[in-house]
Amino acid sequence: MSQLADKIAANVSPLHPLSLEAKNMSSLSPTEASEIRGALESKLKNRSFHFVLADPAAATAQRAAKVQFAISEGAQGYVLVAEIQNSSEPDSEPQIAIVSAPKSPLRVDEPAMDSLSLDKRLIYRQAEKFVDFALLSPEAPANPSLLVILEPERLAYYRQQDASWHFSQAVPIVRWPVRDLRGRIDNDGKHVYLGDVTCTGKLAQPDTLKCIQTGSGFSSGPVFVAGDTADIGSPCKTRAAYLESGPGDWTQTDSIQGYESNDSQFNASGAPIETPGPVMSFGPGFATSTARAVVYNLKTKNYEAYIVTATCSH
Amino acid sequence: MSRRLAATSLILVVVLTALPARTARRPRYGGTLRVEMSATIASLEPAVEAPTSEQAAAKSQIDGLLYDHRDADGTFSGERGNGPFRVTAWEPGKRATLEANNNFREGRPFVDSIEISMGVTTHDRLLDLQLNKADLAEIPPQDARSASERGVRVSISKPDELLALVFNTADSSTSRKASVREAVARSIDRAAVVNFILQKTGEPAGGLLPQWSSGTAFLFPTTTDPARAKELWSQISPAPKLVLGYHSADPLEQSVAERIVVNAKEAGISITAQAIQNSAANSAPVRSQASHVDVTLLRWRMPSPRPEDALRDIVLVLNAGPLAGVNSTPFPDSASPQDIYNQQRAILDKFTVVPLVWLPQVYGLSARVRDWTVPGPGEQWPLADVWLDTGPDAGADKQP
Repeated sequence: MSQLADKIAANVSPLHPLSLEAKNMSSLSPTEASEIRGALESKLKNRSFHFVLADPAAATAQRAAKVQFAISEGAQGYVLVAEIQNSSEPDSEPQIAIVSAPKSPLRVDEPAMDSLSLDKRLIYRQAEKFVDFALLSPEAPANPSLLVILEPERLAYYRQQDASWHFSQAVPIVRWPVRDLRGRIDNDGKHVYLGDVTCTGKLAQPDTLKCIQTGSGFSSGPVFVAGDTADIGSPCKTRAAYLESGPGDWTQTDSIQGYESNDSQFNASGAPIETPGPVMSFGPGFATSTARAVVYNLKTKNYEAYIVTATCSH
Repeated sequence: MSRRLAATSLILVVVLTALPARTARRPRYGGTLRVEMSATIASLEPAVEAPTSEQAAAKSQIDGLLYDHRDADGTFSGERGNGPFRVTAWEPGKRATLEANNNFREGRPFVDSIEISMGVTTHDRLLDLQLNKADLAEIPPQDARSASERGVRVSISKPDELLALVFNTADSSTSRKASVREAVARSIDRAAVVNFILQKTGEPAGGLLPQWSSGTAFLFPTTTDPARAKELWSQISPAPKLVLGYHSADPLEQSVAERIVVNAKEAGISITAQAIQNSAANSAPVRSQASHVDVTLLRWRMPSPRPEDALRDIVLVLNAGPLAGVNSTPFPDSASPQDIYNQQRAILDKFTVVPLVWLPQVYGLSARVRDWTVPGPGEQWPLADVWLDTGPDAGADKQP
């Protein structure tokens, strides 16, 4: 923002007031766009500019320089554009100042409330593919400090530091290449399955893991995979419940719906929650009434790890 | 307690098993994907150059299925046959059969094979999609809407192909006059081209890059200004007669050329459209020089979504032809959005190139094609990831 303010300042004398008109042509929300406009105004005020209303009559009367500020978006991020029309040269072509800005992270949708209320919490995201993850609490049960990401070629370990995850080490996994790669970290904390490879040991202690290729080729190997449903126990009294991801293929956004048993029938319970892309893997979480989901975010092209929690809301 | 848990689990297992079959999310292996294309490819040998840009593009798509990967410069790496598919049958210019490579580095493709039919007309491709005789075929953008209305499943990319006017300033003394070029440029009604010829499948172009790529296309106006065009033309004496060349085998170019003639005549500009045959029409910059036309239509497809790479490419294309010898602003290797805008502005202010419309790539798909993602600029058809949904019982999770 400072860069754009500098460019505007280079084209306009602070002796003239500025009229600033903003338009949002990006995917940012009106609130976010308004914050950006506010930031630009603030930077310009720091450079001794003062503002008049964007009203054309007022601007002309005060010989204000007109700045049309656009928040745009290209293939590589946001593009901030200022079209600057000097009051002394109203008929000339406007000066154009352009700067780029990186894209900000997406926000996670708020959960809907109903009888079975679902909440999803983004744990981690990365551009590289992963098929499952586990959030472990080796030191304090209520405070997960270890994140294990099952990637196509390795089991990557991350430790929490300063509210973010930092890579610590990895266990390489050599397997037969398959296009529809499936894998799962078992909730017993002792087994990891990836294609035709089984790793055994204590998940929280990577040095103890031993990975063995149990076959070669497509037709062999265990089919221990996370599916499209996750048993979540009984959040509402004794009624068995499970969560299920939606239909469609991997090019579409998805949803997760809760189901509860009622006289041997399972019916949809509560409102579904939307995911920003297809649920690539889905299975029961380590804690009660939770599920873990790996989602491919179609907009950011990141793979995202979510913990979905089901609570009973009356 | 444990009995209750056991009972609950049993109910869950029974009920989950009894749930109705849902649309499969997990890909299925098997089946033959039927692809139809208009281009005819005489040879897949790298040494044999495709004679037209259309054939080169089609050959590149097939190469993308046969080679392991593509390098940054666009060339394919490794041996042919190390990619996701291998050629098992080849009839030059007519048909090809590709078989899935079980040992492909990234895993075997889902479909067993691909049958490619070449030289299929637009009419026949649309008909075969309607009759479910084809699974994938390219559709001209101007036919996208009617195809959709006829029940064809249509997949449309972001607009990534530019249709532009390019003036032959090297050979045509008329085109060397900036006021002539500006008058023609201002007379063109781009919105009419998009709305009527393209049936709204496309968008007016003002810059050399689309808005989704550069983020600054909105700074280049696309509106028509017939009054200014008329004023400019009236000041040119003697009033020249212009010839606009278009590719004789491209119905879209013909329609657009005819529309431009109508717009220009409304502004008093004397211009005629002239079809250009065969080899002279393959490359627009060459076309204008070889055929002694004053201005010609250029179709250029972005090689990359990155604005700096795409702009560098079109500048190269233009400098190889009508803009040869015309000084342009040096373009830095790591260009900022400001640099990219400035470069476009420097070119467009001369009116030697007049962007008209942005066209998307349009594909028709059969209902059974799943996990198709429309390829972006520079990307290959993702046929290794595509699978065929042939019903709940047909080859679910079949492993080869």
